[in-house]
Amino acid sequence: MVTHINSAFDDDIKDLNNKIAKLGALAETQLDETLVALQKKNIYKFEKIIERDKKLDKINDSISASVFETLALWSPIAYDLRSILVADKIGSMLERIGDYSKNMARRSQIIVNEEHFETLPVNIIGLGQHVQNLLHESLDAYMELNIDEAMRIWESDVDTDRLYLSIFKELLSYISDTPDDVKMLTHMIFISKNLERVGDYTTSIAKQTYFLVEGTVPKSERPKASIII
Amino acid sequence: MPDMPDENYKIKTNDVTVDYGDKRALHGINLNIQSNQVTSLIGPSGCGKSTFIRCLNRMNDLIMGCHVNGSILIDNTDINLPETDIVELRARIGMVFQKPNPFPKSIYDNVAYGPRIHGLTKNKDDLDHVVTKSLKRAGLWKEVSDRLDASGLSLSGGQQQRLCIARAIAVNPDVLLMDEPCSALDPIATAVIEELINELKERYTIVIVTHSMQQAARLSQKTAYFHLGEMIEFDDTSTIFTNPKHEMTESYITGKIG
Repeated sequence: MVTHINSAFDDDIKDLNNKIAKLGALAETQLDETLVALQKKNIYKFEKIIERDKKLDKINDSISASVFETLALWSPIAYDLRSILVADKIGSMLERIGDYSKNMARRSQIIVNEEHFETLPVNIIGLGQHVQNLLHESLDAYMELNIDEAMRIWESDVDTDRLYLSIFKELLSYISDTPDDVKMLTHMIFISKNLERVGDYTTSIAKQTYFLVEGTVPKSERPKASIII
Repeated sequence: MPDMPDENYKIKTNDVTVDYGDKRALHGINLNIQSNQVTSLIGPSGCGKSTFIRCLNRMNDLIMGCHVNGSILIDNTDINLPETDIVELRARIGMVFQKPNPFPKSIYDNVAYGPRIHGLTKNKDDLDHVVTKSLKRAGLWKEVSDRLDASGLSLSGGQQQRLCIARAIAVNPDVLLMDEPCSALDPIATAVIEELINELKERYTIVIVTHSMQQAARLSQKTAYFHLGEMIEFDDTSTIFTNPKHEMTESYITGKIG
């Protein structure tokens, strides 16, 4: 393993990476528990998810402080500089993913007891599991510096967009058919949109991984699907 | 890096090798240096960067058993041709060293020395003008204008280094070679010299050897990395310090082992 002559710098980087790993694991837990609670209508779980979001904010603040200090004290360059800047960005993205989970938990609290909630055949959970896998894979690619996997994830955002669009269209049609459920359906649209945004962040994590390893952003155009109708 | 038309290079070296007796210190260096830019040479001690810079004004001629081969063109003229006037060459290619080395003379005479021996001025007024202009360009005029008769050795380290720069530019050089010019100076004096180098590049082509990565990053437009007598990588400074192409460069600038 290649190490720095000054081992204290390696210690700082290791500490930063540990914080990212911890934040990543928590962001995954938040998303997973939100989806499970939504599926099982576990109203009590949502409160825990909302409360736990503070932990993610705290870890992200700690990452920002470490990044600030490391930049000031070590003046890192080349790969070292990229690794610190990328850690800062990915930290912020994971914190935002946590925010989306919290927001979904809040909306879920409102809709799970609605009369028609269970009768709607909308595959929000399917979309959630899709982005959940992407989040896990993108974090693995980042930790393992696997740019082939990162590029695959980066290019796969189009699948998330398509899934989201199909759910969005479906929910719009229900709004026309059952105007009494408009409040619940609107919350469901927001939940779907939040999941689509989590998908976007996973592709950003993949893109940052590519930049970290290669020192440039991917040259090809990312395949995209329209998410606006 | 895209090739530039040849005429835009102030200095062109082709397959330059240097031997100290039977020890080869530089292995075939090909490095083209642009006008009015600062080019930094970085690398670990003994990598050949100082040896290379000393080839550019034939300072290695002074070392017994040192042999320089390959071509070194400055303004498209080979400086190693037998007919080259070494004194005139070293006036055109000025040099500033690690340790400030003013002559044990007055501030005025330190700067006037070169123009006098090269016969560059017609009279006292002319010489006064050159001394004043050189001290101003070296950023020292305001500090010494009222004591030009004081000994150069009475100045602080940073001032002495700027006096040496004034002395070098008094003979109207094209190129300034600087071999770790700030390594004996405190951070404030270093910052003053760095600011000066940044201004001087408008008039001169500057090649600087430095052990300070931050200094190379701050000062230069181009950076070359030397290792064990070879030039490993040469590129825009921003590329070298953000995304070097060669693993050895990356390891050196980030201080890695293993």
